[in-house]
Amino acid sequence: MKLTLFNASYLATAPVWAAILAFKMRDLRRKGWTTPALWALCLSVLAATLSSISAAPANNTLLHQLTGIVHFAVPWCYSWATLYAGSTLATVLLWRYPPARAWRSVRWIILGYSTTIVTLIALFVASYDTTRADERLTDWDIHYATTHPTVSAFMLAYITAMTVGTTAQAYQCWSASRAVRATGRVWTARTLRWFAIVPLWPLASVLVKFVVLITLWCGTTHLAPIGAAAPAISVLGSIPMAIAILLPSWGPRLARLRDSIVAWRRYHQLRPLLNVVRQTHPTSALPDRRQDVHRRLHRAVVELNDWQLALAPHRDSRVGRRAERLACEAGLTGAALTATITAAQLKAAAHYQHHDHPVGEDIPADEDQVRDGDPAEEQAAWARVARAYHSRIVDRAVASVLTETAAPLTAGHGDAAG
Amino acid sequence: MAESPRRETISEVIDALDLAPNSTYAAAFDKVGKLFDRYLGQPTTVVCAPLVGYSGITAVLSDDTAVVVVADSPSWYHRLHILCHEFAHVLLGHTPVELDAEDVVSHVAPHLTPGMVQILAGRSACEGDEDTERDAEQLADDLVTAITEHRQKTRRNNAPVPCGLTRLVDSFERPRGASA
Repeated sequence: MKLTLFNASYLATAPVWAAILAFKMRDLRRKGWTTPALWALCLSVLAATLSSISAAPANNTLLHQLTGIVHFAVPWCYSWATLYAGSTLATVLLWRYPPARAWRSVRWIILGYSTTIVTLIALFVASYDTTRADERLTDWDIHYATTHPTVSAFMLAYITAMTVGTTAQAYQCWSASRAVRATGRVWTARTLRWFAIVPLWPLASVLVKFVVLITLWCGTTHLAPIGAAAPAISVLGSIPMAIAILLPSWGPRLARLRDSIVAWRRYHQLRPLLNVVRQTHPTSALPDRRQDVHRRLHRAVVELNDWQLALAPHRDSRVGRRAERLACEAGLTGAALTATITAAQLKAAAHYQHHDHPVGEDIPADEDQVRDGDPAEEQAAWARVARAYHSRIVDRAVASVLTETAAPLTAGHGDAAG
Repeated sequence: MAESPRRETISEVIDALDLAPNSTYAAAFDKVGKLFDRYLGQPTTVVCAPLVGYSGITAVLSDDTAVVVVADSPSWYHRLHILCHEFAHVLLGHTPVELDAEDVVSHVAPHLTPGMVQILAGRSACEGDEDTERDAEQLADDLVTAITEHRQKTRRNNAPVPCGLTRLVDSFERPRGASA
């Protein structure tokens, strides 16, 4: 049961890593194999894939059978994990710094992590004769760490290399994310944040292992099972890694999808008022030939503004004042209040226009009050007007003023008709 | 106008506008107004004024100057659209729409005086000429959309990338297939 869980946890994430590798290899082929950062990233994903596969106990046995070396999976898996830490750190440095500056650090990383891998293999070989008799599929390191100084050294070398690599990667990505976010590059900042989360999982894994080792050296064995299970934590890093790899290309697409959904919702909020406009002021309407919702919204705002201009000679300030009083009584403030006043004036003006009744309040626009915001603000303002247009407050305000002017309107209309 | 030359024209206009990053629609309105001189071939004055029955009028005066009157809409976005509609007529080389001078003066006075004007294009004055108006309106839509997209693009890309992060930002923001 325990081995099945170990096998499942390691092998389930291996396809995720393999998919990420295939995805990035495609980029590598397109780029002509000349981008060091992409090479380093592919190497780190390859290392993660192989360490994840070889950490599964079932594969430990297989590697033993294939090579004839007991515990062969230990140096194999730990070497790939170490290579993963080194190559991801190199990737980040190659992203962040100019080539000359980055290569100075990358050369030290190659030297340091190669030395660590050689050291791990040497320490494994040194421990081989005394550990080969009792095959440990999941806890070779924990089991022998207290009795074999070479295994303790093996663990310390691995923990140190992983801690340095993963901490530096997390720090570099996180600090870059903050700096990039300040420039408004949201998706790049988010990508970097996910890249900062990736190394936290292997870091947590080695820190748990380190704590367990300390307790073992202090003579406590209660935490030993946790130490054996710790590497399983690191495989969870494949999930944020997949997200980080996909975000640069898929993030903006998701944002566009979200914008389209918001735009369609906004367009449907404007539709009732647009229908009124298109019935009463058809000259401003162009057929919606293009299906693009952003174009439809642009047309809607233009038509509504044209309509407002066309109704200007019929504007009656009494309606606005009446609507303001009623809206304030109803507790409306700010943008909702403004929208209610505008809606009432438009509704009354449309009525006057229909009855060919100019009010004669030709009020020029206050140049300081001319709106100059984003189209989204303009659309939102018109959506509030559209909502208010059919509200009870607007109907009451318009009806009360029209009642006062009913006599001249009716008389004028009757004369014209007669 | 066919799709390909239309795209070229819009691209040429956007380049000619040379909009500053974070330009407002009011600033874009000024820039489009300045393009009339070049495309109309005459010194052109652009004014916003109350109009009755029209939202925009382009007129050539007897002294070989031109005036564009844009209705004083409460929104610069809308004013820009009206101005782009007038500009679209110029770009499309539309035949002038003849209107009675006295009628025009009553709409746009005191900017014009009787006998001085030849109307080139009057937005909303499209009776009998729906195709011309529709073409100008659609080109105006394209121009305003292109200006809005340019605004958004320059706003996104205008913030300076901190020293040392240029390569990183390039890696993630280059088109697909070019990212690391």
